[in-house]
Amino acid sequence: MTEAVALSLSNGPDSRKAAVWRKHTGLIVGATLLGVILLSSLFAGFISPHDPLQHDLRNTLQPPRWAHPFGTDNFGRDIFSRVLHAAKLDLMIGFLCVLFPWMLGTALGAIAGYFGGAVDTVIMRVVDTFSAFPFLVMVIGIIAILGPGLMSMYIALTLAGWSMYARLVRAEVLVVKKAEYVLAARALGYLHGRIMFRHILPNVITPTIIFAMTDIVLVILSTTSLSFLGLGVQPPMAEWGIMISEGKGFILTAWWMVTLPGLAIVLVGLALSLLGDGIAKLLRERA
Amino acid sequence: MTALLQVKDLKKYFPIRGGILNRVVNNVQAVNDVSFGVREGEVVGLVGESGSGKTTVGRTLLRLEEATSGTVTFDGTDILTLPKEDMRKFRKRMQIIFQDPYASLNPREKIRTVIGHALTQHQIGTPEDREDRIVRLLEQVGLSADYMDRFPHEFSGGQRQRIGIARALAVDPDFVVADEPVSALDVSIQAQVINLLDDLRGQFNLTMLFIAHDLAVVEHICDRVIVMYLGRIMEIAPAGTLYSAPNHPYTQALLSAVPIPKPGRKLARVVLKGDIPSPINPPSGCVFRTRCPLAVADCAAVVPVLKQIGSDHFSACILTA
Repeated sequence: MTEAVALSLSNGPDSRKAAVWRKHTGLIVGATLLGVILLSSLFAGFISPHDPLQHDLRNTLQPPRWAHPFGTDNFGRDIFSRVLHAAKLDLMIGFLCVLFPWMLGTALGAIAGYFGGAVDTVIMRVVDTFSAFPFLVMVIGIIAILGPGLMSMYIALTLAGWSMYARLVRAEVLVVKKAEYVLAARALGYLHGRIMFRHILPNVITPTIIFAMTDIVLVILSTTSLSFLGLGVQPPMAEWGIMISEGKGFILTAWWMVTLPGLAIVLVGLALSLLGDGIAKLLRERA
Repeated sequence: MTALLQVKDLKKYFPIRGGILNRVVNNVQAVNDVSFGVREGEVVGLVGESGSGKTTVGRTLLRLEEATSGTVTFDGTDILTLPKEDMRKFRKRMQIIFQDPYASLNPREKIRTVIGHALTQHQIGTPEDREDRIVRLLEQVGLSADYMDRFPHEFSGGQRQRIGIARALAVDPDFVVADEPVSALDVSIQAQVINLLDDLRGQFNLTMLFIAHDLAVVEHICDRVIVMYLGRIMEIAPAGTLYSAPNHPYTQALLSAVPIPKPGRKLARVVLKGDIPSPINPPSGCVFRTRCPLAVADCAAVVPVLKQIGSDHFSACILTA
């Protein structure tokens, strides 16, 4: 008996570590993977062996080997360097194109839910209008109007994405504004701004962050799809969608041009999904 | 003694909307023609079953719900017509203590902020002595000053309710609505909180509207009691009179349901049949007639008015001579 207690005591920290690992495998793997991707994209300038835009016409379509780990493309550009530099751009677009809709949607949804009445009706009918369009159709439509490019893509993805956040936040605000602590704040004569920012928003924000974590995967996929179609980031900038688009003509002779940037997208998508699910689980346990 | 708070013909209907045009198709008549007064320094109980409209009365008095019609006069000011900005300043004179201590504190605010912001909002005290005031308030409700930098989830239900009480008293109100302040607490804690309210009533010179569905609790703390049923007042009486000589058949039924811990006592229970009717379509005439053991045909025809039957004793029943 004493022995067993001593054993379990000495095993304490290890078994606790094992339990944390079993419970949060996805979160840990996702965070590590994303950490590695983020770091290597941030330090792409130091890590990458070549200039991502430098043509080398004597070394076109080289298969992967030591000097070019991911091979070279039809202009002799180093694909490994291009994939690393593209990671920075794609992750930034993914982050910003979730941040802007999140801010816009949260603000409008909170106003609609809090004030109700005519304000609510107007905002929610606009939300209905926006969510009636299929996501990609609207994005492509807006880019067609504004002309292709990075700025149009930011605008298009923000306009196409905010309505979901507005809906989510409004529904949560409708519940929280009936909570007794919000009534208490009103009974004390607090100003709308304080009730909104201190009492309502902090208590409705969690589900929107969980949603944003899954949304970011979709947004990065949309970004690469748009660039693949020539509507987003423009060549010669290094971007995964562009690289796949440029490589599709060589898919039978130089498989690495399409496959390796594609794998990068898969890896980022996987890391973000694991991280998103892990954080969602963590926040649910807290709540 | 003059009334500090005078409520006259208060009505609160919640519209039910329907159809494609979202028109008002019906109303939930939560509060109907309610009139009463609360004198300065008095604790008035407001009792009734769930759905009788007592919480709605409390919230309408503080304009947490806007009344459909009627007037509420507080210390000479008609507060239902007060412009929003004036009302916001007026709010420090009237406060509310909520039923559920788990829902009434913002989970993301420290106790220091919960109480402290009430002081800054109404510019009570200087920034330096606000800290002292928070400490003093916490001590007055029986909590340690060490609790100031903790979050609500670190407290028990009884402690949270004490924090809720401290928050309401922070602005030094003249009038407090206590909306079933103990019904969500353990029985062992209920007595402590009731006694605390009784003590604070003297210290803060409070006038209180004490909403409850438990007559035993009300008997202990209230001077007068208002009995509500389905949005209307049935009887108003001094606490002693109500318990010794209830007049209205509904009050009699309510009192017969109070358990009395005395072995061998003969039970003369008036058991009400059926459920409380829907407030969407309340019965004509007297709303209680569908469950009243003494109902006669006339009860369906006239809405009984409150008649004085003794000193400070009013009852709304046509059978009362």
